Amino acid sequence: MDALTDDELVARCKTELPYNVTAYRELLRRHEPLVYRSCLKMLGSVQDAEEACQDAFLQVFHKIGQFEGRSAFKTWLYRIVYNRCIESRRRDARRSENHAKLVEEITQDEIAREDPAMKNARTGKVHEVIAKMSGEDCRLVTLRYVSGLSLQEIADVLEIGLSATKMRLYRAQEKFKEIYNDLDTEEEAEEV
Amino acid sequence: MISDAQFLEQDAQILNIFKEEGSSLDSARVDSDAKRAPRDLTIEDLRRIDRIVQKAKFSVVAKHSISFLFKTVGVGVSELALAFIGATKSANLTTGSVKTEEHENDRADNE
Repeated sequence: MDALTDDELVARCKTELPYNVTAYRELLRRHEPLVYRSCLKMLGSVQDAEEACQDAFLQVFHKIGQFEGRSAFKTWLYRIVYNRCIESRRRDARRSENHAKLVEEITQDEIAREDPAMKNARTGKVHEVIAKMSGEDCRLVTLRYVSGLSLQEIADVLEIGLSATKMRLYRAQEKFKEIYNDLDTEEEAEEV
Repeated sequence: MISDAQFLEQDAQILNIFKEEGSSLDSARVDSDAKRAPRDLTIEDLRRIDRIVQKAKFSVVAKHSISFLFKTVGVGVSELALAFIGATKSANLTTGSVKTEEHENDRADNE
């Protein structure tokens, strides 16, 4: 299975699912950890990230037969993930304040239980900056620097032109730098 | 309009920030055709993957069960409806023949 490319695995999934999940499991092993970490950055909550990630891969499971291969599997996958994260954010916005507090408490419990590498991914300065960014800026920066997508791949995920993507990403980069520098200044002021 | 040079410069700067913070570890590990060896996965990763596979399998079973249930209920309802229609028709026929009989008896009485 290791030697097969994503396209070959997708082809096997199309013929073998739902009875044989070997190829699907291999796709999960290759992509799930990074997708999960990207969701974590985009949504900022372990619970929401796991839910969005699960939903995205379940959609892949049920819709892989409809994937025509006009784009790379990775692009198709991240388009699903991106849309799931937007949906999740919208749902969050509708939640009441009390419920948000409850989720925060649960999330804090989960952070205390999670492994150190994951904890580091959630608590670093970069995470703090991303958490302070607005929805789309946050998602763009995550796709580029956490998921590792190229400019063209991001354009395909967003289904917009290359120059529009470049413009949006550039603005998101500016915002990132601005918040990052502000945090630096705050830290220096605290030290003094 | 942003030039490519401007964009790439800023891109490199931010990529460096992520590298310094160790957050770009993920993107460095995986490219579009990456083949992840099992050793790259943590126990938590494997658990999440197992949960997704189980949920996917369950969703197939649930989907089939629901469609089977609907089919069974659908067949049951249509058979009941047919039986009801049949019963109504036969009741109408019986009433009709009784009425004809009564009518003929009345005619015979009058004669």
